[in-house]
Amino acid sequence: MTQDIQTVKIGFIPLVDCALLVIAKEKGFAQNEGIDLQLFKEVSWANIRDKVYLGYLDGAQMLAGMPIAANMGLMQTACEIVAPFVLGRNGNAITVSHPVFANMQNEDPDFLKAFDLKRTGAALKAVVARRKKEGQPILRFGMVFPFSCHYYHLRYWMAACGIEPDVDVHLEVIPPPFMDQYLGEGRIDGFCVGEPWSSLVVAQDIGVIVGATTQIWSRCPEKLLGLRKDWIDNNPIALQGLIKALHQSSVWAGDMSNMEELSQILSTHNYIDVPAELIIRALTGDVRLQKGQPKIHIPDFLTLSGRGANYPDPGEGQWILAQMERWGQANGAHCQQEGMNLAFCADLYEKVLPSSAQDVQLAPKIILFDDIK
Amino acid sequence: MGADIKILLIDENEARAAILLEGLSSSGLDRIEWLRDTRDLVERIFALDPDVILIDLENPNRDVLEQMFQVSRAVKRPIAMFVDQSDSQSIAQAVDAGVSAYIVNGLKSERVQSIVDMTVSRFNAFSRLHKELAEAKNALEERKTVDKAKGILMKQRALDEAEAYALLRKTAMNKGLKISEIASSIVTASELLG
Repeated sequence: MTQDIQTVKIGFIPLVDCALLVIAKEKGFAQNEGIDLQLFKEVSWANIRDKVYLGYLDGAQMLAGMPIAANMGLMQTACEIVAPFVLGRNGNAITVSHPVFANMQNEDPDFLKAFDLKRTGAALKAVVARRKKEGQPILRFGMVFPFSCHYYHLRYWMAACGIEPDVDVHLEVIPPPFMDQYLGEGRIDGFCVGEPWSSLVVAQDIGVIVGATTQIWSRCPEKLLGLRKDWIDNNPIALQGLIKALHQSSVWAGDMSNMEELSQILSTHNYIDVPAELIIRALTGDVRLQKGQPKIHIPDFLTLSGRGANYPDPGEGQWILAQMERWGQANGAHCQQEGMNLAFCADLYEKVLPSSAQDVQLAPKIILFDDIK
Repeated sequence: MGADIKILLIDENEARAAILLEGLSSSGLDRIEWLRDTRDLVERIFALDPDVILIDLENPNRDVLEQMFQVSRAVKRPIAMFVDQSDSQSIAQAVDAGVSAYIVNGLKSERVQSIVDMTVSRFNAFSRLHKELAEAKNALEERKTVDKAKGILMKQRALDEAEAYALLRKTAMNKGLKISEIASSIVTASELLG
């Protein structure tokens, strides 16, 4: 087959949910679609946004809130972003330091065994209340970016458990590769971050995983492929090839027997550069919460594939937008449906992958851990 | 440039920071703070209260600054990305140089432009210098390897130096490789095979 090869430049952050992009390149799915997929490892979400805006990159792995924030004018130096493909759902863990874990255990000795986010939240609330009574400083939690699900999930969970996120705790942005060091030095008391960074903390015995964001909402879109709108407009063939290649990646990633190989690929220096043994935990959902303890299985810990996982549903984006409004990042004036339809561009997905789009009917409804729709 | 402008430089690279600090202070800007480590970054930025923040683009803590735009809106003076959104060429130059600049809202952008221009040119000068040093080091290494390969050939094939070099050159040309690459494989083979 004679076909012009087109170069597509995509940025990513070293996190397990860059997997579908990496598979598309390493397993040849992109090449089969006539695409020379060039992946660029970036150190910050700010860099990702700026480099896509300036055309250094055609698109990137983006936090689910980023295309919305870009299209609704909440971020500076951003252009219109079209996100036609969900690269992963959930995959983040909530981790606390040993002292906080011990305090939580004092309140509820079996909370970790129960692994129920309501009980975990109740234990944390009791610790927060006790600290307040004793005049100790408020707890500090790390997350990764203002427009990230980590931020919204921490806030949602805490608020549902009676902890006031703007009063009772301090939430701050910390780049994922620094989380273990900050936690170890006591500069933060806990964090919410994507894998493999929590597993790395457990492996070093610096902290304990007490929750997974999939427990809040098992379908929450976490990362999307976001592309600059003018690139999309000018490259319809490459766009179609890219979406098809990612779909092939997703099918490949749906076969659990490939997870060993995937973890090996992701562990290399070009990608995450962390041992495969830690990376595979997120891929299989078999996660070690605490050093020296057996792994437990967390269903849908990270979803890369299956049941319409890659379908960008604007209705799901609406939940993220609601969190932005709830916590004062956006107000009604920002919320145009048009911006949302690009940020969760179901139309494009359906156009390129009409048969897969029907799989979304298999997806579970939006059910949140505190039983609120 | 206004001497009253307070500048904060966040850069883990000591040599590059020194080059920039020298440039800024020689143009009369002496209210400069340099943070090499980013411990408690947000608190320190609030304490220093800078008008301009310059940060290395490869520093993951850019995301920490992003949060300040959100938080500070309510709490302190707002901080915004320096470059006017219409001025993407200016941002592109900064990205090429590997630096990002932020100003406190309200500071006139023409006053800051010269600071950013200076930063971009000093960052570029640094990476040129860095590249030249790396190239010089590389050239030295290559010459050493070629000399070593010549020595091996002279000994094993009983050639004089000119003949050994000619052989290296001919082989390189035939294989479409650099002399240093052929030399390096000879040295490796000799190390492996004794």
